[in-house]
Order: sequence, then C-alpha cells, then structure tokens
Amino acid sequence: MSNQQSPLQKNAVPLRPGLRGGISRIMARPEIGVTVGLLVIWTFFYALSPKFLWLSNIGSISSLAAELGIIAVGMSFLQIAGEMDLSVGSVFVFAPTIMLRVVNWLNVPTFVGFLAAIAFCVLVGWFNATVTLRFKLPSFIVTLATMMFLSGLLLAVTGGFITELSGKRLFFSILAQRIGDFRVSVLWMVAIVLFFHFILNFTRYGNWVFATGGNSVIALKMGIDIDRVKMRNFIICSVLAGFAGCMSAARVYSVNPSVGFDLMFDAMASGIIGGCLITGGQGSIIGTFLGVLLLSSVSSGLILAGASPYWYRAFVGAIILVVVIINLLIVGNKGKVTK
Amino acid sequence: MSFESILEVRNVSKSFGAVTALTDVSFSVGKEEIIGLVGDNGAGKSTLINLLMGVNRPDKGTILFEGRDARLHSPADSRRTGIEPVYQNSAVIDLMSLWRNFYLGREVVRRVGPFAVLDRRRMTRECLQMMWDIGVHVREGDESAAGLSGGERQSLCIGRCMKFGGKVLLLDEPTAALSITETRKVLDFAKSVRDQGMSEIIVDHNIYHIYPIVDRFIVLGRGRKVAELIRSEVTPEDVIQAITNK
Repeated sequence: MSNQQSPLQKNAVPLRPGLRGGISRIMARPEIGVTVGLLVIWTFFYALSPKFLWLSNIGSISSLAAELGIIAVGMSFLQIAGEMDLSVGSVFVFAPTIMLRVVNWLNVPTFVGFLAAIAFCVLVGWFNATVTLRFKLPSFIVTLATMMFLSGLLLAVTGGFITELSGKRLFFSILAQRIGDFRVSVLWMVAIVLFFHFILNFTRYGNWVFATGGNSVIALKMGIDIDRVKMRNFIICSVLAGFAGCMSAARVYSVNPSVGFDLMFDAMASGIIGGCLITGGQGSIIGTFLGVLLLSSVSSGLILAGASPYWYRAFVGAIILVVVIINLLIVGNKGKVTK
Repeated sequence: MSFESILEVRNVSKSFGAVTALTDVSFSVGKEEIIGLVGDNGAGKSTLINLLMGVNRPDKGTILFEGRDARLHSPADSRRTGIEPVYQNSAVIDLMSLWRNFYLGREVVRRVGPFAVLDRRRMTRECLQMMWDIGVHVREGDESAAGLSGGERQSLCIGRCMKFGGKVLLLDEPTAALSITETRKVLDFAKSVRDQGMSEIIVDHNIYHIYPIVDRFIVLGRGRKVAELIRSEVTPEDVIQAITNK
C-alpha cells in the first residue's frame, strides 16, 4: 500500500472463508481435547464391557456427574474470571449439614433449611471475595484457608458423625428423585450447564468475565468493574457448590462431613480437562461438563471392568496430562482465542 | 476564531502518600488539537494520564470536559464522557477475539425474550469493517487479537474511539517499541484522526517523532507545568531544552 493513501480510506472487506475456515474454527475450540478424550475412553470401556453403554450404566454415570458437574461449572466460571476457590469441597458438605440441622432443630419445612444453607454459601462466597480483593491476596491462599477452617469447624461440630434426616421429603424429590435409571438431579445439571454456557458466551456479563480473567488491568481501563465481576463469580461458585451438596444430601437423606475433599480436586480437574486456563481468560462451560462426564465415565468404567476403584485417581492423573497435551498439539498456545 | 477548549485541567494536584506527583497543573486541550505531553521520567505524565482516564482522582483541582466538571470517578466514567485511551502494550486482551476486544464494555445486545443477548453477528461484521477501514487487513472479526502487531493494536483502539464517538484520544507512548514503518503509520493515524475532528493528548519520549504532528507541547517537570510551547514557534531542540532545563 502506498504511503500517500489516507489510512482511513475504505477498503473492500473479504468474504468469509469456506470449509477450511470452518474446520480450523472447530479445531480451535477449547473443548476439542476433552471431546477426543471422551470418545477414546468410551470406546475403551465399551470394548472391555458392553454393559458400559447400557441405559442403567449411563444413568449411574449421569447421577455421578450431576453433583460434580454443578460444582465444576461454578468453579470454571470463577476460574475464567481469573480466581479459584478451593473451599467448594468444604461448602459441599457444610451447606447441606446446615440444611439438615436447621430442619431437625427448628422443625421447619425442608425448603427453609435449604434457604439457610444457600444463605450460608452466599456468605462464604462474599467472604472469599472480600478478603481476596480487599487485601489483594491470591484467591488460592484465601480459599485454602476457608477450606481448612470450614472443614475443621464442621468436623468439630459434628464430631465426624453423619447428619441424618428422617421421613419422606417432597423438596428432596424435586432435587434428586430417582426416575427409572435416571435422577432429577441430571436435569438440574443440564439446566445449570446451559444457563452458564449462555451467560458466558452470549451476554455482556460473559464478555466481562473473559476480560477480567484475560487481563484485569486492561479490563479495568476499558471500564469493566472487575471487582464486582469477581465478587459475583465467587458467590456463584460457592452457591453452586452448596446446591450440589444439598442435592447429594437429598439423594441419601444424610451428609457425611468427611467427603467433599476429593470433589474439589475432581471439579478442578474437570475444568482443566475441559479447556479452562488455570490463569483465567479462557474456558468453556460445555468443555467443563464434558470433563465431568469423562471423569464420571472413568469411575463407572473401572468398576464395570472389575478394577479396583483405587485406580480412579491414577487414571484421572494420566487423563489430565494427555488431554492438556492434545489441546496444546491441536490448537497450540497462540491459536487459542475466545470467540 | 476564538480558542474553543474541549478538555480543561484546572489547578490539579495529586499525591500518593508522601510522594507528590502533581502540583497545581493547568492546561487545556482545544478542539481538533494535538497536545504533546512531555517531560522526563517522574515528571508526572503517567499520573496526569491516569487522572484523565479515571483510574485515580485528583486531590485538588478539577477536570472540565466541554466546560462542565467531568467527575471522572472510574475508567467507565471517563470513556462515557468521550475520553478514549490508546495503549500499545495494554489495549488488547490476547485471549479474546477482535470483536470481543473491540466492543469490550460497550457490547451490542439485542432483546430475546427476557434476555439481552450479544449481537455477535453484527459486532463481528462491524468490527471487521472498521479494521479494514483503518487499514488493518484481518480476515475475520473473530480472529485472535494475539496476532496483531503493535501498530495494529493501536489502530484497533483508534478505530474503537472513532466508532464510539470518543472526542479526546489519550495516546500513551504510542511509538515505543514500534518499527520505523509502524511509527510512521501510527503518527499518520493520529493526524488523520485529528483531521476528522478529534482532539488528542500524546505522551512520548521521542520529541522528534511527535514534533511534526503536535500543535502544542505541555512540558512537565517534577509534577509541575514548566512550559507551554506552540509548535510553530519552537524547534524540537527548544522542547528538549525545556524538558532538561531544571
């Protein structure tokens, strides 16, 4: 171009590229690695045991996935904004314990106990966000502390014993009733996945979440209230973890205060496998959902294959590395972009 | 023709703890005028830019925009008022596509039932058109911003400003780390943007780079305004003299 031309001169905009462009667009999706991984795992376990794809087993995979999935969605949503929450596992058991105890002590409807539990989650999310933002601390440290504190407090109060609730509860049926091979909780998960996928990719707020995690300094200069975005996402993350916990309690009518710890790691692994950057700015709720499906499939597949469930964790470790490397090889670091 | 100012900084002071960054600085920016804000390191240029951007607020003094107190309490306020920052290194988020960057904070939405849904198609198309209009030949609006060169990043910001009716551009070190061709391109942009009716404040260390396009130099030294020079009356050497003369 000659230098004499005005830089503001009109040019002809090119037409959209065709098939090749289309393929490269698909390959650039953050979910590509986990999709490949899921197909491989399903083929593998199906070859080992055809029961793997029986409806009853798909039902059991999806029930496993529902609770983990809801935690992982919240975690990814926060992670894309550039923060993390290690306390989800503790909230997962603390919130339903509050729900059951409130119902037992005060003899109120189950729904009231549930509201108390959710209020508690909002408080935890608010606390995590406030300490992180006010003192400019890494959320890793703040939520590590919250995690320890809450799980210690819960064990001390309950003495490590399971909290139970007796009698049939209608509200629990709404959360986790079994229908045939499936549970209502699966519907909750699907709804939550779709909702947050929509928010993240198709609303202004979603754009702000990506920007906040992608580069908070620029986001701030462009007029995004990054503290508010982070505050909201901390609360969303905590509330979803508590909701998943209540769903779990509704399934078995009790809460075991010592579970939850592993769930935090599984939720984090699902997000990473699903293409969420641990440093923020990129990720996909659908990818996270597929990551959850992958982990649940492995857990169920190992049992069907007659392997010791202890292998689960080793498998997950290997999968994390393989999928992350697939992502890197197919997309490369530079090609990654939030469209 | 009388001097018509669009932006006026009036007796502004700012300290950070015990450090005084700006003391009683006043100047105004005319319509269709390019101001060169110059000074040595630590002269207070960045502090002043941050005040104009709404990142910090002045301790004393006011900033007037079109004759009214601008009340720049946040970067969002500043952009809404019509002040648009152009940064070479920090204007664009690499992990996001061009249209997401272009429309950041000003996303176009359409109503779908109860929801305000991003109008992705329109933003992608308009962003692509804008990039081509300003001479950045990208293929698609949802391409990664990571592939843009330094000059192209600034072009994106300038395009953003023109699109959203910005009235004053803040160019912070626009030529730092640019190639000769790119520097030239950016300065050409700056000039043509002014010719389209905008005002600009350019911060730059290289007086020779910006001398040809600047209308007036505001020279800062140790947080004070030490000189105000009309370009047509001085040589680049005079400006440098004013900066180094303490």
